[in-house]
Amino acid sequence: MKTRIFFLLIAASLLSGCVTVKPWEKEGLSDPIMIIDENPINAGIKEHFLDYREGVEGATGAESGGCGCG
Amino acid sequence: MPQVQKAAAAGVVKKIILFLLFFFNLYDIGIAQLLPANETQVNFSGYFDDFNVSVLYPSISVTKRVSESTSITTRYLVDMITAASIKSHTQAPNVDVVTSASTKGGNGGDDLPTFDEVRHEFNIGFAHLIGSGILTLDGLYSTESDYTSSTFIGNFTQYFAENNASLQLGVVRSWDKVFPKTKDWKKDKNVITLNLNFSQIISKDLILQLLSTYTNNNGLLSDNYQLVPISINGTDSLFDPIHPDLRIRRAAAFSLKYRFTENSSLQLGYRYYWDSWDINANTFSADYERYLSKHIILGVGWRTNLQTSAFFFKPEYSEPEQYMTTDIKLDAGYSNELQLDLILSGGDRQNFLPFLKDERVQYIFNLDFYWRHTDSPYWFNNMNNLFATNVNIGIRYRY
Repeated sequence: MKTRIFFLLIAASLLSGCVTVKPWEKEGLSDPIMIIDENPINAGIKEHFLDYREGVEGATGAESGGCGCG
Repeated sequence: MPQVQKAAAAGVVKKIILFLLFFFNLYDIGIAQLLPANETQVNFSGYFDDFNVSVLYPSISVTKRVSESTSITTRYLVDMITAASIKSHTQAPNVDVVTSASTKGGNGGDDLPTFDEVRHEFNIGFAHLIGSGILTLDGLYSTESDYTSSTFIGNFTQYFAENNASLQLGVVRSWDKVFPKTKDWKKDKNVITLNLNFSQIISKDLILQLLSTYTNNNGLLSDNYQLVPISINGTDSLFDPIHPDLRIRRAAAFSLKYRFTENSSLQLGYRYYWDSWDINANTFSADYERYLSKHIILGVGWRTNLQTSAFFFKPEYSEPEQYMTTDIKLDAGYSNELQLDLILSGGDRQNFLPFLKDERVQYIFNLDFYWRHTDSPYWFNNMNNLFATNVNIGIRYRY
């Protein structure tokens, strides 16, 4: 059911692809404050410390063992 | 055909050719801009919590475009745990294992083991433009005294609808080796993750992103430094945790990024997670970014996570069971995180600070306050709440 809802959302979004923004209208979208994960290395650092503290994060890169640290 | 009509037709063809050249040029520039640019980034990060854990993890990464369509990224990160409460049989949050990172060879006390908790992570990645798509391949190797991990990450992103939409397919494959210092065995852990992500520019001020993840974890999935205390006939005994050796994890998420003024944007996100260990989680996030001036961006973010517990997690066990754990990450609870970000970009030639004059330099400051509450107290210190701070100072040099 949840998977179906997700794919319905994707289908709805694909339909919205009919509405296109022209290249010359995208100036604002290239602004750093409009880029999702503008700095992926920085985003990875944030994710890194959540990986060891929540059971619902992770599996996006190298893991480590040891103490798990909390 | 009269001469005048021929000239008019030639004019129209010329205009069409010019339009196509202009269009495809913009299109190519648009795709090329998606390739990582030349940059060197150095980050000094630290994590500190009230469970007596302190971790320093500096990293350096270098990205270089080696051709018009290819760039290579290398990264090195080191984790140094300077104090860690790994195992304690007391009810007080004492540090009972002092790492060699802080003792430099000392044994940390009369009867306390020394743990060499330094982890090195190496990453080499490559991004290549293929038509109107980007292929990225990354290899990671992480090594520490009791764990090694080799990871391959591959992603292909296809852009379409005049670059207004993209579909990304990704795979992550990890081969891990676990060999705790307190054990005489070595076991495997394997992870396969598949990602399917979709991004859509809805308008010139709004972007939608849909993300989905499927992960298969198998092998040794427990942390064998976390023991399970069980009282049998009045005698306390410690048992190794036993987790199922297969865990299927799924997540679906969306985020919306909206520019609501010339100088500010808001990103809202929601993620639903469910796995074969019966953990369900709802994660909400909101991030606000605003230009304080042409060269300064302030970011404020909030993230809340609510989760249920794994089917075999119990606050305490009265007898050994098929599956048992004290891993607090598998307990029900919630967490909140407040993020503060400040980005100073160079290029301000009027600034009296010389390091802000160079437009190729960017300074990044991140401060995260994290609070996690679990329904049951952690097994070794009897605490339900974890308060942590994560700090990062980064310098990004683009050239």
